[in-house]
Amino acid sequence: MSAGEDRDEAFIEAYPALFLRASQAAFRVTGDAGVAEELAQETMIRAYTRWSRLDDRRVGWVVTTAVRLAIDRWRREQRRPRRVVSDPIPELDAVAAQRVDLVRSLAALPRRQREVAVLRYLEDQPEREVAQMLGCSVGSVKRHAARASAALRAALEPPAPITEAP
Amino acid sequence: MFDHLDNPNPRLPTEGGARAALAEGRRRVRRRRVVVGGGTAAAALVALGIVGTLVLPGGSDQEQVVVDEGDGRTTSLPRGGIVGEWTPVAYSAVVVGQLNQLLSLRADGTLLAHDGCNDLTSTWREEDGHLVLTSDPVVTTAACPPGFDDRELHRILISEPRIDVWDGDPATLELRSGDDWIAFGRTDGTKPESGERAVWDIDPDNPPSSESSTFTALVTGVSCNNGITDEVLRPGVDPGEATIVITFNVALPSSGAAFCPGNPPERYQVDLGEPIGDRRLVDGGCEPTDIASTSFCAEGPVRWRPPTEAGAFDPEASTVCPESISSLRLSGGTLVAAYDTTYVGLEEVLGEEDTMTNPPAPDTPVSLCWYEGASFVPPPEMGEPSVVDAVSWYVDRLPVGAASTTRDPHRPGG
Repeated sequence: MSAGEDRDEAFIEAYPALFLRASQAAFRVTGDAGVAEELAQETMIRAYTRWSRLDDRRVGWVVTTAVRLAIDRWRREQRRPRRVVSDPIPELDAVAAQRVDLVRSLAALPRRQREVAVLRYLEDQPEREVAQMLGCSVGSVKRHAARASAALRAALEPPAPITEAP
Repeated sequence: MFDHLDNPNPRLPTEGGARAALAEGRRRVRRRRVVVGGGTAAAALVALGIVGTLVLPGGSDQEQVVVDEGDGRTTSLPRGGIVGEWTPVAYSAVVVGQLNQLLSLRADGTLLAHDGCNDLTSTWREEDGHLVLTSDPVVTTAACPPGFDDRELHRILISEPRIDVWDGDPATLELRSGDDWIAFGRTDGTKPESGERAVWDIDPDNPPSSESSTFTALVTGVSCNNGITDEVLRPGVDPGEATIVITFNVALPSSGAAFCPGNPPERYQVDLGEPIGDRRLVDGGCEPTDIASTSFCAEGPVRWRPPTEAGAFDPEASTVCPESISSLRLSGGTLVAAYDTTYVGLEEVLGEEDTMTNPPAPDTPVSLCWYEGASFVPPPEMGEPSVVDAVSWYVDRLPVGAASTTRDPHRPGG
């Protein structure tokens, strides 16, 4: 069997698990199953083109790439001109609103912080795993995670309740 | 933490989906095999397991034969596939120091490479699907900082290794040797023809306007060359959202030792291919290089500003920067801000890719500015312009990044 065939077989074998991780990560950001699957498929195509280089970083690469594609898509939609309508804007439910806050706060993070935040908090991976996936030190993960965590907490925590003055 | 955002009914992936991804991935990938060098040296290196990879640009109109890695098939490689100039865009390892590497495969059979310190010259030809260096490489012997002789480009070419060709991304060229690799991008029109770096200025007698798509540059070679600016080579023109960066090189001096009386400028008509619009014209020769700190670039790299800019909002004027930007320096890959205890990793300032491919020289002036209400250049990762509102980074007075924050903009130390 040639190296190319080996590569293809390895890709086919790894595809289901990686696709699920990618689509789940994308869904957490977009909330749209169809879009998430579309982004996961694009992620997997890109993964194939650099398969031999990903080695043991495949899960980390696939998850962060899927989220990055989801954020890119959100940014494009934000820039799209919108028609002004007089109808009242429907209120978002709490989960949808949190998704908007999440993608907005992730989009605002520097890339490395965002990658760490996605793997550490969105994917609940331990620091050591994140370091391995991203090819950096645990200390670097801690540093980026602390900053990302502060930014995410500030963006996602509900506002403090208003109390009446005595 | 975000489990409640999960899809409760995810659709399981199918084998058809995997096959479709593989087919599309294959379409984007074309593998080829090329051998650089030949004879016993290459055979010995192959025996030692030193194998390289070249990633070639795609191109449906060219004759390209897919060769799977390891199956032994080789086919005729269209010469046009790799003719051209290539500059590194990524490395397998973090490369410290200023990089100005280049690989030029010319149609006349000349191979030129610059490893950041020395030049390497050879000839090449296509032979039975192989790229063969047809003459021993001639290498200049300048005294280089430690590490240059061990760089990927230098090592791979000098070693005459067996090199595979792998196309994973159009317009990308990759040299691979074991775990080390160096990826190139085509210079196309954005990089200058290789030579000695030069600086330029606007011809004061013939300044451009916003409608101009050409202008006259006065180009000056900065190397000691007995008071002569050698032939001005094709400039690199890199149009961006807010700037057009034009970078000039001049022909290499014909002799070694030279006096340094200062070189006169030569006129060169630059064709931008599109109107300048409201963008600044920037001298790429003043971007982080050893020239940047010299008198040639004392006034900064911006050579022309659009007239509309004077009356428009000027983000630089509205920034809240430390009084002295010299208090901020790059030191050992860390940006040290003197006004507080902020320590920022270099990759956060420049972006990881930029840090690898175009790291500023140590001790490059860097400013970190807070500003309010400004529409500004986005961080490179964002790709397109957008409004950000908190902090921006400059290297050598050029904005290289910006980010918003959840906090209100504040004055440093305030």
